[in-house]
Amino acid sequence: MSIAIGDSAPGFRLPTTDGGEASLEGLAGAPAVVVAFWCNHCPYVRAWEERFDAIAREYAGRGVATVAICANDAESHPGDSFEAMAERAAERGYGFPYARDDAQEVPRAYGAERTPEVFVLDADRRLAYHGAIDDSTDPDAVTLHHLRAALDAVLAGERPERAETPAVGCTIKWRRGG
Amino acid sequence: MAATDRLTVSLLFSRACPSHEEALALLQAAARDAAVELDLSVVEVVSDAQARELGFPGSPTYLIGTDDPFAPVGPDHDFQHDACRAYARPGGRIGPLPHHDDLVAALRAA
Repeated sequence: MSIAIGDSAPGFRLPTTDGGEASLEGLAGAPAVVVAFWCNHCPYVRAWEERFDAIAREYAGRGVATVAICANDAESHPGDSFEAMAERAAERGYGFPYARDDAQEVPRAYGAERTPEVFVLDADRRLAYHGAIDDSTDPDAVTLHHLRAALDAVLAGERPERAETPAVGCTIKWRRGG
Repeated sequence: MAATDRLTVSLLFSRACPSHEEALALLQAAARDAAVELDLSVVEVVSDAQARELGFPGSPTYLIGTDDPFAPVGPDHDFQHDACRAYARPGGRIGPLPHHDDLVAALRAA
C-alpha cells in the first residue's frame, strides 16, 4: 500500500547518473517535488518518457524539482543497471536527475509498484498526488493531464482535484527472494 | 484473403503488464478489419520456465501460427514471465502495444 494523500513523504539519498546524489533534503525550498519511479526497459516508461521530460523541464522554471528513481533488480534486468541508466539519461538528455536505488528501499517506503508511477509532494513534502502522468500511453490520445493538473494545483496552494489515479506500467522488478 | 479464411493466433500475456485486455481487444478489432476469423488461444505466462519454453519476449505477444510478426524492440532481459513488451509505433515512438494498422497488416500477410 502506498503512502496516503497528506502523509509526509519518506526521505531518501541516492546516487544519480550524473555523478551526484538526489535527496529530499537537498530539494529544500522547492514549492513542489515530483518523485517518479522509473526504469530503462519498460515500454510504458518509453511511451511516457518524452512527455515526462517536457513536464520536468517546464515546471522546473516554476521551481518544481523532479527526480526519477530506478530500483529495478539489475541482475534480472541488466538494461536497468546504473551503467545503462547513465547511458539512457545521456542519450535522451534527461532534464531531471536519474537516481539508482539498489536497496529498493524507496519504492517500498512509498508503496510504489510500477514504472512509471509518480508522487507529487507539496512544499511541506506531504503527498498531494499519486498515480499516472496522464491518461494514455499514446500522446495523441491524452485527455487528462494528471501530473500537470496536480502541479498546477500545488503551485496555486490548492489540493489537486484528482489526487489519485491508477499507475499504468510495468511492475517494479524486485530482487528474487527479496 | 477471403473473409472465410481462418488464422490460428495465440495471444501470450502476463498479468504483470496492464495491457492484456487491451491487447485482446486490439487483436479482435484488427481481425475484423483484416476480414479474417481467428482460431484464438489466449495463454497466460506465469513462470520464467514457461517464458523460456515459449520464447516469450514480453507481454503481449501475438503468434500467427508459430510466427511472431513483430520485430523485437531492444529486449534487454532473459525470457521472464513478468516482462512487458515494447513495440515500435508510428513516428518513431515506442509503446506497450503494436499499432492497429501494423496488426491488421500482419494478419493480412499471414
